[in-house]
Amino acid sequence: MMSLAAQKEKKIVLRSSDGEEFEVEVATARQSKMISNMINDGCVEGSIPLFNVDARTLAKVIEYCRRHAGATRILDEYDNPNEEIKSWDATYIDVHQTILYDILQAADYLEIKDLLDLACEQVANIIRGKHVEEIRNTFNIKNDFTVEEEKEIRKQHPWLFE
Amino acid sequence: MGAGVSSIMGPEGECGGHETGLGDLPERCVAEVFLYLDPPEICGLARLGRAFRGAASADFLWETKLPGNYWYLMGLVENENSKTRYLSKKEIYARLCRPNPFDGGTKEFWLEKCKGGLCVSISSKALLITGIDDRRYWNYIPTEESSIFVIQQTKGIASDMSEVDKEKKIPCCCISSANLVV
Repeated sequence: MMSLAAQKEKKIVLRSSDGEEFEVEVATARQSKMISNMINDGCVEGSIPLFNVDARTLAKVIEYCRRHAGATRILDEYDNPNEEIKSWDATYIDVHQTILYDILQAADYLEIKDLLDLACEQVANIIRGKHVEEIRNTFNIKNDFTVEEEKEIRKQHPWLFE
Repeated sequence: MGAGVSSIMGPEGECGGHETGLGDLPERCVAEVFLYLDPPEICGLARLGRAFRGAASADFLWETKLPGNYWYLMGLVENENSKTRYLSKKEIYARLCRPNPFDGGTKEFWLEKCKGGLCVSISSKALLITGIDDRRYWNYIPTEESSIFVIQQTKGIASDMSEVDKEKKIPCCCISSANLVV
């Protein structure tokens, strides 16, 4: 295990699915459990290819990781850093929905738990209280059930209406 | 994200390039989103499509909706052929949402559907009057306020029994899980 000072100096290169390279600090990269495991295993020579994350999404994810890697240090110095980071998170995740879904899937793939939670909560806030047909129309979700399956699923939750 | 071109675009999506939509999320990610929604909403959203139906049945999702002592509660569920077969966590939730009589039918418990809070109804027959268990002083009478239970009415009880009187007239009561451990 490297010392903290050494970690700060060392950089890691991440390569997006569309070939763009991003140089990040080790502390930032370690926000991803997947990459953290690779660092521990010594598999980070050269650049790390991330086949499932494009450059636009990776840039956003790195922005989050960099802020949160810094937040860990702030926690030690101030009494109430939570509100500040929560407010930053709220602004950060207030993005167009297509970017939101990309961030969510990238956080899942890279195993960044806090970012996954943040994105999932945001998606839940968007769909909460909307009727199924409204969601289907608004988000253009194709109904891939057969007629029989649809009948079946309509009958599935009688306990909700008892 | 990814190389595939999505066939599903939101109306706000830009034309041309690929766009990820809500319908493109893999089942596991949809289930993660469902963690933040209430059970009735989750079951409604299962109608959206197969990935949503699959996500809405995930055990890890329903485990978070169940009370911590759900195994104990399932032990109180009577007359269950379901005890002999494996139940998914969602089925357990559904089962516990129905009224479940216990203690010889004098009490019932159920889960509140939206938040999973434990509710308990106690029949007057499950209540005891300490020290004056003498039928000359009280009687069971039917009441429209209670469909299955009768209330106890005290009669001719001395004033020092008034506190008991008050308690006995409660036909049933709901107690949140925070106040009562079953």
